[in-house]
Amino acid sequence: MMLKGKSTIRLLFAAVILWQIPQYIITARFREPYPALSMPDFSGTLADRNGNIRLRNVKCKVLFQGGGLAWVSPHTLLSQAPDSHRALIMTHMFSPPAATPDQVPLRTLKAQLFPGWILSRIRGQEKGLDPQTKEWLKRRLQVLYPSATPQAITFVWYEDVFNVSQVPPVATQVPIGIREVGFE
Amino acid sequence: MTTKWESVDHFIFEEYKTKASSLGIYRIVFAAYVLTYLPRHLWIPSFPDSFFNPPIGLTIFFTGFPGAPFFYAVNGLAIGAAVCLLFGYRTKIASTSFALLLLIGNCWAYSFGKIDHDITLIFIPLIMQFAGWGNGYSMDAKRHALEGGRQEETTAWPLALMALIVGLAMMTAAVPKAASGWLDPHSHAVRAHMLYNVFVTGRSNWFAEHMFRIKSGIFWKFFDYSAVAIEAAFLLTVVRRQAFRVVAALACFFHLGIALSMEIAFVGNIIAYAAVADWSAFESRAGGMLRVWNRMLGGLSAWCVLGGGGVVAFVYLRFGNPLQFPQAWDPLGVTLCLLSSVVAAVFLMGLLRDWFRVPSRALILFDGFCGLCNGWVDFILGHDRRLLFRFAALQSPAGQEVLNRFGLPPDFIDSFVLVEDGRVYYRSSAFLRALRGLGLPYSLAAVFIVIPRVLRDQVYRVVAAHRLSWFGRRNTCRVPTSEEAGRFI
Repeated sequence: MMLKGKSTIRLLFAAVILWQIPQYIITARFREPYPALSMPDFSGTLADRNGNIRLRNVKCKVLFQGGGLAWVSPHTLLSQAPDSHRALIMTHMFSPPAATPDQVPLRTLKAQLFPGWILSRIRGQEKGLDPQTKEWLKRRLQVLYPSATPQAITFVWYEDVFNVSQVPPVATQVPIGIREVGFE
Repeated sequence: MTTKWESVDHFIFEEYKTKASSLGIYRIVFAAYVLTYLPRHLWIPSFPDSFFNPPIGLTIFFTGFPGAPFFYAVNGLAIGAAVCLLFGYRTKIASTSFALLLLIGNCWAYSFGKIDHDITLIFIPLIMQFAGWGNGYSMDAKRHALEGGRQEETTAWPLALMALIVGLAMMTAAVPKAASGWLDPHSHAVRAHMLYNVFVTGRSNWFAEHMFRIKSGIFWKFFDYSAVAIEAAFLLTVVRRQAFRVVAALACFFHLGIALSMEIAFVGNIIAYAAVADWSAFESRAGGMLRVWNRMLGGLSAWCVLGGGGVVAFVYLRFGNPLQFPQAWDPLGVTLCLLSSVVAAVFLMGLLRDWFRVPSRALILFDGFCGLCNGWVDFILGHDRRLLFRFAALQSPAGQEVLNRFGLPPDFIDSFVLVEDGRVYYRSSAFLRALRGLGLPYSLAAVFIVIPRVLRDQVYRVVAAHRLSWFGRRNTCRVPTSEEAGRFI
């Protein structure tokens, strides 16, 4: 395969530059596409005017049959995934259920053509966890705690609030919400 | 003087010209790195389809993840392609295959909602195959030589395109940062992200802990501003290879800082910057090693490479890559960041040494009627301890002859002109080079040369346009005094 002719090459350069316009629009309107010519923007986490930095965080409380209890970190729970993925998977899969979920149209042409896109919107809105996710959680906890039978897991969401004037940083925890998952 | 379109063509077709041997070394470096990076996607089947959360892209047409055999096949073939790339066997097929296989695997890996920004590792083989990176230190080159066929020539535009892609990609990081408040004096964005990495992502380390003890707002804001500046600088310097290299070298320190404090090693970026590096310097230092490599290529058959690729793929898929570490801390990534910073430091020091090497003679042409220009000439005469500079008014016969020799128009009076080592400089470049020739402390101002010329010249143009109204005009062209006569031509 050869690219010949200066005009074709000039057009290629122009196309690469012009591609930035739809890419910026898709990113702003929906979320970052892939593949895309982009690098991480790290735009969300900043100190506010009072010098407070707020980080959304989670810890997982596991209740076992017979009354035992254990705290498992999200990193241990999702250790099979690369560490860069874990926080986002936790947020998407195990956030507190939305009080008023968006209406996601399931029988439209868009849903037929792009089922993955529609599914990704549904998952974040579900009140109860998908049975597959529940089953995966149960199996995962059995691997982590082979000598006990898990009865339920609670994802406790909170905000770590740091103030830039405190050195070294000390977090104040502000609760956000919980998601409880029971295993019958 | 060139037109804008000629400048664009120069950028695309000339600016990034490189030798085939340099590209060959770069191909080996790239392939060696990706063989430490694969396999990537074998963890995906441990999650059910309910975790499927694809971005807008190739996987939105699906409802879940493929099974484990798919990912074993994709990674096995990608490892085989990387081995072929290493030895330069069927380089174009290997480059395209590797890029597509990595893209396919990544599309599924990033369908959990998180995108790792290693897209450059896909673009590099896709683009560099057109540069002719299979023409040096490769089995393909040996085969062409044996068959007496015509080898494809090395072309510059793929390197220019690679530089443009890096510039555009880095700009997508700079723009949202600037728009979301990174430049706000109160935002402490780097500090917030380090806290996120330690407390949410769980990447606690010695460097982060020690940096958190620093309270100074200036210290933290320095990182916020420099992150935005370095990311934006790639695109601003893309048309000048040497300036782009300087930005890439500075970015290596930036990446080392991120690798040490946040444990995120953007090695994919560093490998992309390495595309524009001058590998001939390495070639001259490691000539013996490269000769051994070439001899080895002569003894290799296609079956050796394909069989070797198969063995590597089997070992990696069966037992894991011995160069990958199970824990989050990535010693290989940090080592590569450290190594790239050492190379960057050597490159920058060499550049500084060349920059501060003062030429033996230089000629300054100036507007003989302009008050500012004459004041500037007086300043140089007063501080030129080495008697480096000679002068001529632009309007004088000698000045006109020099303008003519360098293809500048006779009415070129909006800038003073510097002729140094047979090259002509004007506007801000001439101004900074003249300061460099005066020695310390004035030569320190020459550091502003790192600012893209288009920005420097804009400032120069504003001053030049108003110089007569601000600083006055002489009624007669300057005539040197008897003391100055020896310095004027």
